[in-house]
Amino acid sequence: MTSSSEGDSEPEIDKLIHEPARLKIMTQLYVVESADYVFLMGLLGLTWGNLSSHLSKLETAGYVEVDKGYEGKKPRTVLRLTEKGRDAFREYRAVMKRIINDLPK
Amino acid sequence: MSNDSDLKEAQQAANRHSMQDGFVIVMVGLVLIVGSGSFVIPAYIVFIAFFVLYGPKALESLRERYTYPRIGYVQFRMEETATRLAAGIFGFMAVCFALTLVAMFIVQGTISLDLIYGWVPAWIGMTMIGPSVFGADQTGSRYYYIFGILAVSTGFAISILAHDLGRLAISLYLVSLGLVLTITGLVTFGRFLRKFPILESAGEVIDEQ
Repeated sequence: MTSSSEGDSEPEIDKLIHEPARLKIMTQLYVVESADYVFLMGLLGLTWGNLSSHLSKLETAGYVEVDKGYEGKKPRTVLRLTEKGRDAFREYRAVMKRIINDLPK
Repeated sequence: MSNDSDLKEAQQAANRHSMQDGFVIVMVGLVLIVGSGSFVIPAYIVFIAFFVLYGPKALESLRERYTYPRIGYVQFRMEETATRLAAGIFGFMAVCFALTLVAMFIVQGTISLDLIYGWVPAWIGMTMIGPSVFGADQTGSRYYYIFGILAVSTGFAISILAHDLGRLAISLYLVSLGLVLTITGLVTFGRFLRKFPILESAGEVIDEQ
C-alpha cells in the first residue's frame, strides 16, 4: 500500500486514517469545530455501531476527543479532532498527494 | 495546500446538512421585514438592535429544540474568515452604494435625498448579491443565486416603477423580499420536520460506550 516510484524513503501512510470510514470521519471533523454522533451518522451514512467502533479507535490513537456532557437535561456527546489528529490528517493528505504526484504520467 | 477542493466539498456538505431546518432563511426574512419599518418609523431601529442582540440566542434555542434532536449538533470553525467576511460584506455594500450614486448622477444629472431614497431598493438588491454568493459558496447549492437574482431584479423594478413613493418604496421592497424569505424558510422547516423525526437516542451515545 505504501509505495513511491522514486525517492530513497517510501512515504508512510497512516493506516488508521486510511480506512475509508475513518477517513470520512476525520475529513468531516477536520472541517468543523465539533459535531455529535447524530450529525456524523446522518452526514456520512454510517450506522451507530460502525461509527462508535471507528471513533473509539481514533480516540485511542489520540486523534479524536470525546466530550461527554449535557445540554440542559439532555446528554450530548461532542466529538472534535485533537491537535494531534489535525496534524496527522494534514500529514496523511500530504503523503497521499506525494504518492499521487509520483505516479508515472 | 495547493488543492483543498475535497475539504471545501466536505465543508459544503456539512453546511448543507446543518441548514436544512430553514431557520437562517426565516431569520433573514424577519430581519428584512422588521428593518423595513425603520424607513417609515425611525424608532423601529430599536427592533433591529433587539434582533441583532437576541437573534443568535433565539436561533440557537430553536435549534436546540428542533434541529439538534433530528440531525445532530455541529459547530463550525470560525477562524479569521468571519472578520474577512464582515469586511467583505461592508466593503461590497459601500461599493454598491457608490455605484448607485454615480449611476443616479449620470442618469438624472443631480443627486438629492429623494433620489437616494428612490434608488435604495436597487442598492439593497445589489448588496444582496453578497449573501447570495456567500451562501452558494458555503453550501455548494446554486439555489442561493436565485435569491440574489430575485433581490436585484425586484430592487431595480421597485426603484424604477415605484420611484415616487420614496421611503415607502424601500419598505415595500424589504417587506416583499422578507416575506418571500420567511415563507420559503417556513416551508423548508415544515419539510424538515416531516423528513427528520426526532431520534430517540439522540445525544445518549456516551452512556453505551
